Amino acid sequence: MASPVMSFEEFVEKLRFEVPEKIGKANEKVQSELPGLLEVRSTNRQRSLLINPKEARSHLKDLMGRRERTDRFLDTVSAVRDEKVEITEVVRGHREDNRDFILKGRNPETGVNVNDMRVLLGIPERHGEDIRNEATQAAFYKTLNLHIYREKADLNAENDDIRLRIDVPGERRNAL
Amino acid sequence: MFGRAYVVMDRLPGVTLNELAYRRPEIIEDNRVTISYQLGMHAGFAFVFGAKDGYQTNYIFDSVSKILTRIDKESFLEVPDEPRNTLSDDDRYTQEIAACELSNLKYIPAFRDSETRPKIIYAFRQGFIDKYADIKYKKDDLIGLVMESRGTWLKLKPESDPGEYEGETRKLIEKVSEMIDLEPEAVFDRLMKAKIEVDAGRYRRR
Repeated sequence: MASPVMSFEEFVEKLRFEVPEKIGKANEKVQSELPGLLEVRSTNRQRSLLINPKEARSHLKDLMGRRERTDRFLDTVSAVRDEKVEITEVVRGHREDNRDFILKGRNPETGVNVNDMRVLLGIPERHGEDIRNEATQAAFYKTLNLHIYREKADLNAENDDIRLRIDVPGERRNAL
Repeated sequence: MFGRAYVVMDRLPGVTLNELAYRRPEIIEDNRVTISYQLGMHAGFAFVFGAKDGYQTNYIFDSVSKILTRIDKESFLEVPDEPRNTLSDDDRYTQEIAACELSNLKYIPAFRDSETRPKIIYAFRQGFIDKYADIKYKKDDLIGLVMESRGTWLKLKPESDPGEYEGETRKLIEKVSEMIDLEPEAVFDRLMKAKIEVDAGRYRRR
């Protein structure tokens, strides 16, 4: 049996310095490009309601709302990557409650694929507090040299229609 | 005011602890000390700042960078009313943190072996004590962040009684401050005992 190069205690001692240093470097890399951790949007949307009859107006309003939600979602995705992103594929994430999805995408202008992203949907009953908590902790993690990652939260998505753009196979509904 | 919020994030390289235990246990075995050490660091954070959902599915380990990352941090600043009580027998808060964070050790094969188990606990404890010391050292900055967070939360969801909200913020800061002031060695010992209480069926869910 080969003789050990260091004792277990020496190894843990080495970790005490090496792990934080490694995490620190990873954080610096994330931080250098981080577009902002928390997105706060106004909920007071002003929409033009010039069209009649009532049904047409309602239909248009619905379309506008759907487009707005889709655009907001893509804005959020693009902000994480700091470039325009078009989503090409969506697969389920690892969570058993089916609240996460993996997004594959590319820059529509260059055609170059971007790194995969993950989206986590909040629990409706928590009214955004769960996602708020996730986004809030990043600053604490950074201060304490625990590993952070690029993320952007939207706390004002108004309903489940975020799935309109997350076209999970078998769940596709009215994708724009 | 809020509907279904979401967050878009990097997809991290690596896999969750439980997936790793199931599919590639040799990776955990090869990195057992660094995983234990980093689990200890995260447990220290979870205890002080009331982050209660540190389950095995919320830890991703990357065998290339050797970094363990905590994801889906949906619980935060849920600290107990009486921080001192966390050191008492059968304290629910301590049991709750222990039930999550210490349970993750069972995914490390060496933890299940009575011969190597003390080494795993030693590394976990060292990570816990180190991170707690770091938290104490940066206490002022962290308390400042708690205040900033509360300010952001108020902007997101304006309260009908800002005075009451301010009072709650003051209380929260006092509680977090007391959590930081606890002795990490005593907290760690209590967490270990709390895990034994949980395993013995003495966990009283709220």
